[in-house]
Amino acid sequence: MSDAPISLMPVRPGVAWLSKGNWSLRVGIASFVLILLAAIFAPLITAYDPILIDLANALKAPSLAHPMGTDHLGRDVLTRVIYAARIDLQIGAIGVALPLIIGTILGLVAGYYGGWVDAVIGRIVDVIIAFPFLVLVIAIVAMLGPGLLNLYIALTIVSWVLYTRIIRAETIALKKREYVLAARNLGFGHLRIMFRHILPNAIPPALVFAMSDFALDVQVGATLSFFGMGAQPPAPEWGLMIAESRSMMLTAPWTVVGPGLAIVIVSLVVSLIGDGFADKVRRLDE
Amino acid sequence: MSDHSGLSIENLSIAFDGGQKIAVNGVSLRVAMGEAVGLVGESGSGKSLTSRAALGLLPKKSTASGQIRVGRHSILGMSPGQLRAVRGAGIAMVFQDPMSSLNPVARIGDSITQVIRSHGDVSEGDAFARAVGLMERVGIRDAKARAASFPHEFSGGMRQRIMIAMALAAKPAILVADEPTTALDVIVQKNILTLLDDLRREEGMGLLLVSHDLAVVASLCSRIAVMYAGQIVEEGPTKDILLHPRMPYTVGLLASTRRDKSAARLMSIPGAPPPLGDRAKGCRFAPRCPLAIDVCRAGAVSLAEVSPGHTARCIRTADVQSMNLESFSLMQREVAHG
Amino acid sequence: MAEPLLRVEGISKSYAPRRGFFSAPAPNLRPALASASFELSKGEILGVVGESGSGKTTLARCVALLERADSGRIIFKGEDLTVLSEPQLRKRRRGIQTVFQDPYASLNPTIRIGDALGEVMLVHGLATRQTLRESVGALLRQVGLPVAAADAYPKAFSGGQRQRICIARALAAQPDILIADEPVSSLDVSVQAQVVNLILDLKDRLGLSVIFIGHDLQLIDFIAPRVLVMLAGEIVETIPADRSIADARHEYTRALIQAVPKLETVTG
Ligand SMILES: Nc1ncnc2c1ncn2[C@@H]1O[C@H](COP(=O)(O)OP(=O)(O)OP(=O)(O)O)[C@@H](O)[C@H]1O
Ligand code: SF4
Ligand SMILES: [Mg+2]
Repeated sequence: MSDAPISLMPVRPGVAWLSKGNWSLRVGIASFVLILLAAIFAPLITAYDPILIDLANALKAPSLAHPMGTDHLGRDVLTRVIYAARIDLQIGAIGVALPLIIGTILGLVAGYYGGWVDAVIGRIVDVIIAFPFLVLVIAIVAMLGPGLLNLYIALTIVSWVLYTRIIRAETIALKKREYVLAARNLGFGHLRIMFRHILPNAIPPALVFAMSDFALDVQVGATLSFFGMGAQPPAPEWGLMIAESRSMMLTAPWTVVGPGLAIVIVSLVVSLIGDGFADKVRRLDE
Repeated sequence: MSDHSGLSIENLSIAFDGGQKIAVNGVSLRVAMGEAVGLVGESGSGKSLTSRAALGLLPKKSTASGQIRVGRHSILGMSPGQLRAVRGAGIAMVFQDPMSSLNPVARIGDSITQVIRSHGDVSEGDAFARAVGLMERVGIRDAKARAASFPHEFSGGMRQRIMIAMALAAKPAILVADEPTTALDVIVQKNILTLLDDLRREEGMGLLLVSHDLAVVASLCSRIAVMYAGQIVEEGPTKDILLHPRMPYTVGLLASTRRDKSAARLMSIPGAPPPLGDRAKGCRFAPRCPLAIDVCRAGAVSLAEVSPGHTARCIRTADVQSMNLESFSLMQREVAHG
Repeated sequence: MAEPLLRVEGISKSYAPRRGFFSAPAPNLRPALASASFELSKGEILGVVGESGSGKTTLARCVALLERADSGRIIFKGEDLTVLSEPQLRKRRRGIQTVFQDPYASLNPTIRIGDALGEVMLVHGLATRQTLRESVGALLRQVGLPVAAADAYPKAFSGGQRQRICIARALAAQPDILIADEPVSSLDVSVQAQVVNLILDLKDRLGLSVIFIGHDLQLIDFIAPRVLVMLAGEIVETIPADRSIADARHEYTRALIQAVPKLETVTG
């Protein structure tokens, strides 16, 4: 038998896939890391305290000392915007991670086993999806009481269903793929087939969706905080900052511009990552 | 088209990565009206690129040089609008995978009607009637009723017939079929090949049939061109190619179609074609060739006429002629192990 | 008479018609497989030929225990597999391996070749972590691939190379039976010959029993002494080892022979 000469081009995913001229992914990730670093190292970036009240300096217009001015309690707005990223990014991260994990597992199980398991999970998904997203989140928080923990619970209850839908559809398609049949044929167990052979191929679209979900969660978190149902004063949080300053919106507009811009920028950065990632997935498929 | 002299490809080269990777290298090929020409080669040899280029279909980020003529039109460098005009009546194409080229949510009668109307000023009703006629022409029974069906309601073979009907919609002078039967089983394959042959004869079309299977091409075509690593390595009348191949690669292809039950194993060409961008400057088949000598690797080998209308790209055409398949295959096993 | 390695007795399989708004109307209720019976001995190659839709793949999947037959018995090494529960079946599957038709869908794009082969041996305790690299290398060499292939992902390989990898993966389970379901139908003619020869080599070397499925009767006849001809879910003819396909009795078998384009008909 012949030993065919072989051209091997070893592929290292994770390094190679970043280097392939996908600027929206690269810019997105770089900006996100920057924001993250700013949030983590906030005390090194700014000398002010985000919470300490300094009424003598209340409502100062932007200046060199306070690039974004101060709010009605004399706190540096820029400082609060930076510290707020800690809470807001956390809302995005937890609001994505929990539903992603729960939704992925249930989607895998529903798609893989089918039958009554699928029917039961499918019905629950249908019921939750039938409600408008925001209305349901607000209803749950209203029921459980205001606060971040309850916000996370509400976000999780409401948004796992979307991940389940995506993963279930992918799983059903992948289940018929020859390599999954081969895995069954080789005598592998269900867990191994689901998590090692199906999941890595089913997850990319869910991750793409997670990016837009992240932006949505940040916005929902800000919105609920604005209405007093999320983060509680004096914690710095973008939505809460806007709420606290809304009566001064016309006289001291700088108090709301900062947090407003922050929400827009984070949403933009995350959707850049999502776009870039979607593009990546599409090209891998070809 | 009275002024039609068929398809002529002159010295076509197609490159990727800004000319770094040359996938098709100086290919020349002619298909006259009413003639069937076969283009054979292994996966990646450049058959599809060449045949698609004939319709002006070049991949993004590729550059092409040379000349392609369909009738009196020069294809390379045409605007998309001009191409569309030539594509209908001048030249049309049938692809390997009919499912991905048919609109899954359109009734097939409507799809064909649309193609007809896009190529001429015909009323909806007339076009539909012609669509049904075309479906009958390609052997779809009960065509009028079936026109209301969707692509997924047809078998693979039927879908390929529909693709052919669509290609025929604007009465092309030249039909290019790229692996039209590769996804089909032998019985359906035979039906489709017979259909293509009938159409060529009755409509006087030129047919360029692309396949990796020498036997498929030989059953329909009067001339065959063999491609290897982006070049045509042998071309000539079908009988000459089959009976008196003069290039070792063709011999290997012929050998690998033989089903000699007295042998323990099939004959095969050991090894694999060189990857794009890693093609030696000498004969590109040399690493797999049992006859290879140092001269073969020294410099480019050109196509030379070995008998009237029969050309081969090999330094040792005379030695190839004097050997038979068995001894060739034996030598090849030695190449593989040595 | 000694019990053959595999005895298939009258297995049938129908697929439930798909219901739903977008599904095709009036699915035919003809079974995909109707009462198929055959035997396979150790070291034998059995050919199965038929047009697409004739039930070849359904037969392969039932025998490989990937689908449960509706009725009939599959007796493998003297044990009726059709009565076993799913967990019991899982342990038996290793013995009957499949190489699928589409080499591009048969390998998991996210798993390196070496890991894919190694996983099989580890799961079944056929190798230890210490000997794994060596065992993987041996498998790759056995199918004519360089050991370096272990570190690459599937996308680095051509169709023919992928089919070799699939064969190696099947061999990793140390099966008694290899079912090759149209393993060469999507490959170039010249590569087809390489893969067919590899399967023949392995049969000789390892004493494998092989069920080789295809639609090219000329090719199947070369590979397999005994050939089953399938049409519409039924085995319509069995061509025994001592008879040539030229003497086939069934009209359909003759149609299959004639449909294969042959160079001889052109050269006269
Ligand atoms: N869009 C593209 N970008 C880069 N390389 C390409 C592109 N299209 C084709 N090629 C390369 O050009 C070469 C010839 O391709 P082509 O599709 O013409 O081969 P083929 O002979 O038709 O093969 P097959 O039998 O697989 O259809 C191959 O090496 C292929 O990888
Ligand atoms: S030129 Fe030399 S290497 Fe090339 S095919 Fe002819 S004999 Fe073989
Ligand atoms: Mg091609």
